[in-house]
Amino acid sequence: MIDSDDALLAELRDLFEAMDPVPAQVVAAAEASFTWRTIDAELAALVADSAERPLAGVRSQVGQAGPRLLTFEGQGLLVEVEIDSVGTDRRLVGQLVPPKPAEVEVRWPGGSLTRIADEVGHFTVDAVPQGPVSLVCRLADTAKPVATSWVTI
Amino acid sequence: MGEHSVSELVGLAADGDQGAWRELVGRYSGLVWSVARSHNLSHTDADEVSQTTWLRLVEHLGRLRDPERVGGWLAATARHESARVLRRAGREVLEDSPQEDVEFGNPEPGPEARLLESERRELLMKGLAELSDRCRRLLRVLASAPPPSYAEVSDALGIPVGSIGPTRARCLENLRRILVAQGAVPHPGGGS
Repeated sequence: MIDSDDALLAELRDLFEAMDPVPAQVVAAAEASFTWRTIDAELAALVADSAERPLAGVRSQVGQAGPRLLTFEGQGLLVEVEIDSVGTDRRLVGQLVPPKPAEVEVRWPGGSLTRIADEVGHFTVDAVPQGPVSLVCRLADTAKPVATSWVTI
Repeated sequence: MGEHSVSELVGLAADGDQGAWRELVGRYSGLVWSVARSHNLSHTDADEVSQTTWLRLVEHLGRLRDPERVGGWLAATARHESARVLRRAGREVLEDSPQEDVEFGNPEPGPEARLLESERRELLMKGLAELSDRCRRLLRVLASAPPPSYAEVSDALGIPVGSIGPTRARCLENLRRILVAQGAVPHPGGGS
């Protein structure tokens, strides 16, 4: 005997497959994300995001004014990145803590840009498209590069 | 490839096997999409949540504590990312709020059989819209394809595995009651 709950759920599954299927480009993007596999990098996790509400249940004007500030941390390195909107693109102004020179690669699903962080660990990357990004920092004094977690900007 | 377990696929993908990666995407892209859409995210936002979730998995392939539960890991990541999108937009994950416009396409009118089918779909959509947010979210994820495990649904919604069965029964009962009130049969052709 077919359980009527199962029958109704099967009907809902058909409904969503017909009315709200996974778009083909979403599947294609998921498949293509494998391109960004890094085998040797250490991870730096997102530890602070100014666009997030500081406390649950407290209303605040999130994302209303000023640039967004992201902080990543891993392997004794802090990567602080200020995000500004320039038209539909994003401008990244970053700071490595402790301050040190590095090669910084900004990656997004459609490409990447590499910039040099100067002696005091400061870097700027212009014209990054809106969407998910990750930064890979290659430090002169560290064997493995540090890759930040992917985050949507 | 079909003979590999999920944890084997994760291991193969971590070693650079693109076929294994595609198989993981095939198995779980519906679940990830359903989690984003269950948060009433637009197509654009759900697209971004999906992309970020899969990119996160790429960076975690060799680091998963329990590769067999990669589906649950993806579902939980998609839930956190969806909540992040809502917070950034200044919206809250509300319980029992009226449903926002969800971008469903209009069913195309066609031959009589298709018309009946589209009428039935419209009734189901209306019925779903009357459910609580909690029920609508649960049913959207439960009805993703291929069918997720209760452990994956638990991670998708952040609720205990043990509560899924009873909640599923209650939500389907609510939906059935709404459908009957609309004059629809509980399920077409279903004698009971």
